[in-house]
Amino acid sequence: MNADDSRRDLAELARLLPDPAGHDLPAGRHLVLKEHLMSELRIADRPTAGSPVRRRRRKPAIVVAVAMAAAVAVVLALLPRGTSGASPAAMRLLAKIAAAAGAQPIAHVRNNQFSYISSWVSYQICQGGSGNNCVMEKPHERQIWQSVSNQCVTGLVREYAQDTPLTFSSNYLHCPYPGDIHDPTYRFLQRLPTNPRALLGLIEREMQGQLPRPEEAFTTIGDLIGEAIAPPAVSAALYRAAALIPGVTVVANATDAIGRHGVAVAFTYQDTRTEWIFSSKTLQYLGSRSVDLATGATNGMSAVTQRAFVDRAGQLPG
Amino acid sequence: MEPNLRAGIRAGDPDAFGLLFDEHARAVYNLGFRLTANWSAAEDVVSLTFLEAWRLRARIDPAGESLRPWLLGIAVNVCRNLARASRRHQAAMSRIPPPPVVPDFADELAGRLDDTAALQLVTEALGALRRGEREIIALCVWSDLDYATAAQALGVPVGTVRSRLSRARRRLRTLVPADREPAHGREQVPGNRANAARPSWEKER
Repeated sequence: MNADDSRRDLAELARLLPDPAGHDLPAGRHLVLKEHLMSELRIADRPTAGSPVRRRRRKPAIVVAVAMAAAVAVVLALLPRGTSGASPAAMRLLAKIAAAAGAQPIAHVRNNQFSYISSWVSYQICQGGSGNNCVMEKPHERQIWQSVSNQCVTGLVREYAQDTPLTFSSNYLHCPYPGDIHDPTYRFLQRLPTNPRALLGLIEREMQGQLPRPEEAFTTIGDLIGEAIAPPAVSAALYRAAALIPGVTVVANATDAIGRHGVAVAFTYQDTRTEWIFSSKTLQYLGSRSVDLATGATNGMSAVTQRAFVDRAGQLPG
Repeated sequence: MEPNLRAGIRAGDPDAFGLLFDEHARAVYNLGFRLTANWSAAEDVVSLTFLEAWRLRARIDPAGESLRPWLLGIAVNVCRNLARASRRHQAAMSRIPPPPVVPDFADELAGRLDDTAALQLVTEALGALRRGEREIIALCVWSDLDYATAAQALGVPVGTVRSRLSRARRRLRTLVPADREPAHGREQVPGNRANAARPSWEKER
């Protein structure tokens, strides 16, 4: 295909589609959003946090002189994949966690039910325009109900004593929609492969273009084991897939949002270490924590206290 | 783009990001609007895209052309998973002042209603396509990226861009007559109208 063909094809597509109305941000909003961004960047701009220059020196293989956008593909190609995997200790721990997760009983779920997850979460609150004045808020309860089979069904989030309907953000859904790897329903998770390498491959294909690959894979799996319910065999496969991610390590002692101690599987990116915390005894998932290694401060944590299936959004199990 | 602005963005100079915002916020806003079909979501896409750009700034090459394709690639990823992007920047997003309840000018409101009708047509047509096809259309047809640049922005092979565009073209041809006029397009497109018109909340989690 040459450039003329491309132009012809694009022209035909433009003709087939309605003209999209393009315009500026509403009056005033450009300024508001810009000011917000500038203020957030000042909060984020701490000299101690890993500066880009320092990171690049540590990883010279990533510095490749190519056109900017091409760098995206090159970085993906250069990051280690699959071959090395997690640290030996993390592999051993994740194997045990996977075995425990796989041994859980299988729930019997009807399509019209909702998954229910209750957790305690705490975020970092920063005052004013400086990153030096940040504190962790007191943990608060967060409850979420989601349809087990269809993202088009409205769910519910109850947090800060406030109910918010939970509706999927895309208007392009073909209903019923079982979700995807980023926003799955239980039924979607049931259909995932249980071979860890196949599962990681699927996750990586879905996040095409996200950077960098190991961090996104760890984050994606973290979302699936945190605030979602997966069948035992899929949970086990997710942990075994995490063991294939380079850079995953073990943190011997970690504490979740309600003070439960455990052992953690961790991944560090740009001086922030994200931990998935598990009970040392039962190897059950307890919660997660994120630590800024530059300051040693915790900047986010959670503790899952209940997972169940219920008949209505808003209904408590029991 | 001036090399020193680019260097400033790589080095994390907030003022350089301010200039980047002024230059490209509109393009990101329009892309977000077309991919989510939602006004307020498009505003969130703008904020999240620039927060993500800040996070990923070390990966910009020191030399190169406009940063617009890079930003649009980030915006596509943000749209794919607004929930996760919002969660990643949860604290920052909670600090955005809410938009005024009453629009500043009646003219603006009227313009918005027209745009909403136009968007409905776009939504119905795009609703017939797969997500990957919509993204490529938004980048190549409406944001004027060439195939190679769109491929780089999304991190996919250029062959993927071509095959998605030709699939989208075949699909749209079956839905829209060759001589369609925009005013009559609506009857020709079997979109899911109830869904397209459905109020769309941000998914908060």
